[in-house]
Amino acid sequence: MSASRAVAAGREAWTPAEARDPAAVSARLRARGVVLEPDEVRLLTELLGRGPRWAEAVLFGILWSEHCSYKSTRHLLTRLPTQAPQVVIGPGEDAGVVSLPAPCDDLVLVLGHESHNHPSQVLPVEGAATGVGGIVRDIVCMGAEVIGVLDALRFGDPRSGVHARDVVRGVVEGIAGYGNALGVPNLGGDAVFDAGFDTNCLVNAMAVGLAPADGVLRSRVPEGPGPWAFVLVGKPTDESGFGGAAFASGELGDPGGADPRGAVQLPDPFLKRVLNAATYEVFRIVRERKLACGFKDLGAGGIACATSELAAAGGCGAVITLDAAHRVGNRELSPEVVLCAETQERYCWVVPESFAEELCALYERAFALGDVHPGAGARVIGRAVPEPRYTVTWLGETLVDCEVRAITAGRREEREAKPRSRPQPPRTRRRAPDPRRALLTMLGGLHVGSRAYLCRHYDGDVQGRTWLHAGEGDASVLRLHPERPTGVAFAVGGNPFWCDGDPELGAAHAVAEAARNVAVTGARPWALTDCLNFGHPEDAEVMGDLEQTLAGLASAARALGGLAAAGQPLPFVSGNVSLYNQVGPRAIPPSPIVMCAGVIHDVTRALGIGLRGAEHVLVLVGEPRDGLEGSTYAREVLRERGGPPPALDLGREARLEELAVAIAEGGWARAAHDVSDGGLAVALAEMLAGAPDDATLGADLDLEPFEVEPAVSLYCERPAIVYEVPFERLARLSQAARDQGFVAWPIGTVSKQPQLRVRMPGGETLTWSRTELEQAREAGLRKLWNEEGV
Amino acid sequence: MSPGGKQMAQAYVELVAEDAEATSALAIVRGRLAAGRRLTSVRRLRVFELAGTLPSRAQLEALLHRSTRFYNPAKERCTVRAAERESAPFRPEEALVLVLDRGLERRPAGERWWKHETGEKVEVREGTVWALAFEPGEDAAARAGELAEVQDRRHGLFANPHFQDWRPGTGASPPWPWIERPRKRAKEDRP
Amino acid sequence: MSESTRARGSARVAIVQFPGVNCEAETARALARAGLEPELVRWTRPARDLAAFDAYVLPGGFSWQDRVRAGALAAKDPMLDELAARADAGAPVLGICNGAQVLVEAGLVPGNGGVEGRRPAPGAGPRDEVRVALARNRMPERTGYYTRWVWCRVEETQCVFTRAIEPGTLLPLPVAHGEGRFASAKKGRIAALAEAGQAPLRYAHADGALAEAFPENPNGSEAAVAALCNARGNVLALMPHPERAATLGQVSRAIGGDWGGRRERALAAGDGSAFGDGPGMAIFHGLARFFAVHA
Repeated sequence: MSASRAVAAGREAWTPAEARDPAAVSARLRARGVVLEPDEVRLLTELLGRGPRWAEAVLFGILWSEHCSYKSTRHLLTRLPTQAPQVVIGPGEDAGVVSLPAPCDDLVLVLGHESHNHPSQVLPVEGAATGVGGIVRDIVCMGAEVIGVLDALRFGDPRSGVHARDVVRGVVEGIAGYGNALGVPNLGGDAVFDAGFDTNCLVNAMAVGLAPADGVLRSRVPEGPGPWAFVLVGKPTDESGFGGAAFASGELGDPGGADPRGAVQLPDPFLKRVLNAATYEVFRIVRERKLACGFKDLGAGGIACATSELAAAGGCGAVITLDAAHRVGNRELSPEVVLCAETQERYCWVVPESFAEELCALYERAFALGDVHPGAGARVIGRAVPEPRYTVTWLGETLVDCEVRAITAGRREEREAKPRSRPQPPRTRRRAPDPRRALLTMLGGLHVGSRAYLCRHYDGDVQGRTWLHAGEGDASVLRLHPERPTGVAFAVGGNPFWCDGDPELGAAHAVAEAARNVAVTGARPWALTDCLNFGHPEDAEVMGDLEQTLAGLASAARALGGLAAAGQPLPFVSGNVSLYNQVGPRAIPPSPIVMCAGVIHDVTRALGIGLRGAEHVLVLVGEPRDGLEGSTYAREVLRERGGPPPALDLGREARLEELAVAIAEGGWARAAHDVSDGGLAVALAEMLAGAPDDATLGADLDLEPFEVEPAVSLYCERPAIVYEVPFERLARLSQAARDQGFVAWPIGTVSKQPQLRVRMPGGETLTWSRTELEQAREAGLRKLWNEEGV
Repeated sequence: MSPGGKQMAQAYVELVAEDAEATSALAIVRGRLAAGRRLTSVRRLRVFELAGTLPSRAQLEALLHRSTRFYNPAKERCTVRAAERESAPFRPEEALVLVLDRGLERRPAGERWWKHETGEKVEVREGTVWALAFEPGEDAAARAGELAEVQDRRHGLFANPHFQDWRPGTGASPPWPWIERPRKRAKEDRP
Repeated sequence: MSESTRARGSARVAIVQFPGVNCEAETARALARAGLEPELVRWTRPARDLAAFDAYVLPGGFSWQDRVRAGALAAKDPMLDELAARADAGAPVLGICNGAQVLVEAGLVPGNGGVEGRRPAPGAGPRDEVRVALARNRMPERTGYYTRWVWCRVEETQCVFTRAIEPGTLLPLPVAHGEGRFASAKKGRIAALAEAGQAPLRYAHADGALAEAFPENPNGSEAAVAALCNARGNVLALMPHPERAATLGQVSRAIGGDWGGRRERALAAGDGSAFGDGPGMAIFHGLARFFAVHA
C-alpha cells in the first residue's frame, strides 16, 4: 500500500473555512461519490470541531444516508406498536427476538426483514441473492441458527419488455441460488406484478432463526473491563458494493454516477454456509464456557459501521487497526474502501482478548476458511477502549478519530407530508362478461395464477423441519423441535393495488391478511415484521402516503394481538424502510410489506388448503359477499383500475382470527383457506388444486341463498374463510362461529367429481373441470419464464 | 469465416478477483492426479461464441459490457476476439480445455437480449475454458489431454464424458470457431 | 462388523462433511431415529479417522460449491479412497443427492462387477472407473434446479438399504436438485444396470407404473432411475432425500395414495401418530437392519 494513498485518506476533505460554503463542498464531494447534503457538511464540521479527514467524510456520508440513518422516517416509526409480553428484543437491533410458549420456552424465535430493491433492479441475480445473504446475517448475528427465509416480490408488467422478464427470472434465480446453497428452506412469500413497479422492482427478504433463550448475542461490546478484541471473520475485504448505502439512498440512474453495477454486492452462499457452520460451533463454545461476547454482521458501511456501532452500543470506544483486516491480495485497495466497502459474508466478533486466538484458529484451521475461499479468514482488527472515542488507523496514520456520540448522533430530516388526492375512477357500466370465462381469465393472469412454477426453484425442505410446505397452506409451518409438537407459521401480506387506493386502509389490510393467513392455518399471530417501500422522501405526497400507511399498520396491529397476549398489540419486532423507489415523477405504489409469525401448540392441528374428503361440507365464515371494491375481478375483467380496497372491520377481524385458531385447535375442519385475491371462486379453485392428483375430488357449491349479483358472490374480496368440515363437526363449528358473532354458511360439499360446480344466485349453474382450472392456473408464470406469448 | 458464412466473434470472460474455482482445481489436480504433478497454474474463463450479423468490435464490446446477460463488469473482465488472427487472453504456453454441456451450449437469454437491443438474431453459445500451465519441459498439450476427461479418482477432472464434451486448444490461437463444430460422434462404447 | 460396534451394540455411522454440505443435521437425526450412532466427520480431519466407523453417509448440499462440477472435487478427496476401501470390505455407504453425485464421480457407483465386469488394470486393484454421470435435469419448459415430492418404487435388488422392503412398494420422497439425471455415454448402460438389479429406486406414478415423463420423473433420468447401487449392493447413490421424510406428517399434502391416506388418518386422529415414521425412514431402518442381521 503506497504511502501516498494512505495519506490521501487521512488528508482533510475540507477546511472549516471551506465549510462556510457548504453547498460547494457538497457538490465537490458528490463528484467523488460521497453524498453529504450542505447542512450535513455544516453539521459534521460542528460535531468534529474541525474539517473531517477524507475517510471520515466517506464514513459519515454512509452513516447519514437514508439507508443507514433512516433520517426521514425514524421518528415516524415510533407510531408502530413494538411492545408485548412475548417481545424479548424489539426493533433497533439487527433482528427482533420473541419468546415462545412451553414446552419451547427454552428457545426464542428471531425475525428479520430487509429489502434489496435497487440492487435487484440493476443486477437481478446478485441483487436478490445478496438481499437474502444480508438478512441471514442479521439473524445469525443475534446468536441464532437460520431456519427459514421468505421473500415478497413486486415486479413490473412483464409485457413491458424483455428486461422486465429478465428481472423476474434473475431475482428468482438469485434467491434460489443463495438459499438452496446455504441450506435454508424457502417458506414462501408472494409475488405481485404491476406496471407501478416497472422501473423499481421490490425484493423484500425475511428470515427466521432459532436460539436458546439464554444464548442471544447482542451487537455491542459486552459490559466489563475486558480487554475486548474485535475480530473480523469471513470473506477478504474487497471493493465490492462500495457506495452501496449511497446507491440505495438515491434514485436509480442518477446522472454522473458510476456504473451502478459496481455498487451491487457479490454473493457467496458457499462461503456463508461454511462461515455459518463455523459460527454455530463458536456459539456452542461460548455458551458452554459462558464467555461474554458481542457479535455483529457487516452490512451497509462495512467495517466502519459495524465496529463503530459495536462500540457505541457498548457505551465505550474502539481503536481499529484497519491494515490488520484481511483483504484481497491481488490489487491495491485504498483505505477508505477497506473501511467502508460492503464485501459480503463477513461478521465481527467482540470477545475477551484471551479467546481471540482460539476463535481465529477455529475459523482458519478447523473450518479451513482459506481453502474454501481464497483469502477468507479471521483476524483481530482492534480493541475496545473505555473512553468513548472511535479511532481507525492505517499503517500508523489516523484515518478516523471522533467521539462515539458523533457516530450515534444520527440524523433527522423533517419532511413535508401532504395527502395525495385520489380521484374516484369513473365507474364504467360494462356489459357483464361471461362469468365462466372470467374465472379462467383471472386464473391465467399473474395475480391469482399458481406460483408453483416459481416456488419449484426453491428448496423448501432442507433442515427437515418443514411441516406444511409453501403453497400447501395459507401459511407455511415448521415443526420447531424433533421431540416437541410446537410449530411456527409464516405468511406475508401487502396488496399494492389496495395501498394505492387508500394507503391507510391498504396498510391495515396488509397486517390483517398476514395475521389471518397465520390464524387460518391454526397458529396464533405472535409477531410482525415489515418493510416500508416508498418513493422519494422529498416528495410530500410520498411522505403523506407513508404517514397514512403507518397509521393503518398501527391500528391493525393494535387490534390483532389478542391471540398471543390478551389486550396487547401484535408487535412489530423488526423492519426496515426503503425509500427512493422512484424514477422521475411517478413513485411506486405505497408498498408496506408485512410478515406475520405465528405459534401453533400442536403442528398436527395445522390446516392446509387442499380438499381432503368427499362429502365433507364446505362452509364460509366471515364478511358478507357485498361488493367488488378492490377486487381482482374488477381490475382484470371489468378493467376498472383504482378505487378503494374492500372495507375492513378490525374488531370483527380479530374475532374471525380467534375463531380460526379455535377451529384448528378443536380439530373441527379438514382444510381451511382464506378468501382474498380473486374471491371465493379462486379460493375454491385453489382448494381443488391442493387435493392430491390421484384423489378425484371437486366441489359442488350452491350460492343461490346469497342473493347478490353472481359476480359479487364469486369474486368479492372481503375477508372470509372457507372450511372443509366433516358433517359430524358442523354443529360444533357453527356454534363457535356464533360465539364470535359470525354465521357459518354452508355453501356446498366436496364431491367425487374433479370439477368445480357452482349454482349461482339467479339459478344459473357453472362448471369448470379440474383440468381446465389447473391448465389456466399454471400457464401464467410458465409462459413468462419461457418467453411465450410476449 | 465460420461455418455457414456467418460472421462470428468470441468473448472471453475472467474474474477480476482470485477465482476460487480455479484455485481449488489447481490444488486438487496438482495434489491428487499424476498427470497434474507439474501443473503450475489453472485459470478458468467463460467463452461466448456469437454467430450472425455482428457489429464492429467496439460496438460488440459496448454491447457485452452493457448487458447483464454475458458478464458483470464490476467483477469480471471481458476480452473480445473479433477475428481469428486476433489473440485471446491466454499465454502461448497454456494448454486449453474447453468443456461444454452436451446439447446445452446455447444461451437463449443472451440471444433474446441481443435481439431486443440490436434487432439482430445471433446465436450465442457458451462454454468453460480451463487454461493450464505446466513447468517448463512438460508436454502441456499431452498433460492437458490426460487431465481433461474424468476417468477415475486418479485420472482426469474437467469433463465428465457421460454428459459433457471437451475440446483442446492452444493459448497462442484457440480454435475458430471452437464451440460450434460439426459434431463428431461421441465414443459410444467407452471401456 | 468392528469389535467396538459389537461391544456397543449399535453401529457408528460417519456423516462425511465436505465444505458446503447442508443436510447433515437432519440426516444425523434420521440415523439416530433408526437406532444408529451418527457422527459428523469434517473434511479437515485425517482420512484414516473414517476407518473406525461401520457405515458412511455423504449427505446432500453443495460440496465445494459444485466447483468444476457437482461432486467432482470431493470425489478426489483422500476420504473417498478410504470410503472405497471400506466399501470393498463390505461397509454400507449411502450418498444422498450431492452425496450421490460424489459417489458417481468417484466411481464407487456403479462400480466394478455385475454387468460392468472386472477389468485388469496396471498396478494393484481394479480402477473405480467413472461410468455414469448425474447430468443436468432435462425438463420441458424449465431449466435448472427443481423441487418436487415424487413417488419412488422400490425394486427387487440386493441393495442393503432397501432389500428388506417389499419390491413394488411406493415411497413418496422429495427431490431438490439441478443435476439428477442418471446418464451414460454408453448407450443402454443405465437400463442394463436397472435390469441387473442395480437400480433400487425408480420414479413412478401413484399407481405404481414406471414414470418416464416429467414431472413424475423430475429430471429425465434414463430408465426412470432414482438411485443406483454397486453390484454388491452396499454402496447406494440416491437422489431423493429420505431424511426429509422422517415423520409421517412431513409428507407433502400433494401426495395421496397409501401414504397420503396414512398421513390424513394420523392428522385426523390428533394423537401424535403423525409424528410416527415417514416413508424416508425405510432407508435408515434398512441400514440398521443390516447391522442387526450381521451382529
